[in-house]
Amino acid sequence: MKCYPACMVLLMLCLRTTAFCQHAPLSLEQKDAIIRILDTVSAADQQYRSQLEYVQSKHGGDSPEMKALFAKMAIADSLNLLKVTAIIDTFGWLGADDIGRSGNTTLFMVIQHAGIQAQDKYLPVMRAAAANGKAALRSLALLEDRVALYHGHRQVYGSQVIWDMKANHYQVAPLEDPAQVDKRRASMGLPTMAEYLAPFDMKWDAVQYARELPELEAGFFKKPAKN
Amino acid sequence: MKSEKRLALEDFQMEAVNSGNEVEKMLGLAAAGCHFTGPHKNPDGSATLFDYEWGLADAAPLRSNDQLSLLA
Repeated sequence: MKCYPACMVLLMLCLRTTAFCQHAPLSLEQKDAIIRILDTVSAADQQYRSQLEYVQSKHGGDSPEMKALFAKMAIADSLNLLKVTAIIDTFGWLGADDIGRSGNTTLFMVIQHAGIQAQDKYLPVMRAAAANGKAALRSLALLEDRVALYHGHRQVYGSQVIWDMKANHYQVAPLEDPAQVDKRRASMGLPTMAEYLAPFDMKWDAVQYARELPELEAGFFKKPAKN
Repeated sequence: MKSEKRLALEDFQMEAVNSGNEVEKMLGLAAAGCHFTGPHKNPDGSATLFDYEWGLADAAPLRSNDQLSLLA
């Protein structure tokens, strides 16, 4: 296996580190091992997602082929979670100054794709990391929103967009105080809702959204987002 | 898809972003260096959550040795 030596190096380094103290400063050797692992993790995370277009257009959003793709995605996500939680548990939430922005983003990406148990566990870790400049606020906002929706609460930053694969239709998931969302987004380093939604061909109208929210919310929370 | 290719500036695919195909748009965004964190799908297939981040092209991963030299 291509990443086996790097994984073994990391494991040995982890054991050596934890034998002395928790979250010790990283050596160059450790950085190299973790960067290599996270590079592989990042590629695995996107591998099946990159096939969505082909499978959706050829077989449809509700096809057995699409379900099979999601199943493969779930397996890859689970394996990635094992690696990333081992890194976080041993070294803490490593910042971009430790492992580069790509590696730092990969930590978030894997937690964002994990089950709610892992998200609940690592959300406080990421909050603390963001407070210390070790995690991007814009990434934290996405995790905050996803976790809130899972627990039946409105999202705060408007980052979560519902894609109805059968109807190929997008909607902003239930959002708290739509009129003030851009202020909250700005505080987390996120672009305005109008900019964020443009790639979905969606127009942002806070007044209209607020009007439609009760019906949207009733429909969404009858089928809460589950991991 | 290799992460180097996904995030490289020269791999921007804005024509895909501007296309009429919804999924192609999302993948175009991914290729354009946006962080593609969806989909997140309910077990019953009822809804899928998407989110993404702009501006990660400048986070294009360097080869490990190069990155190490930057971090050192």
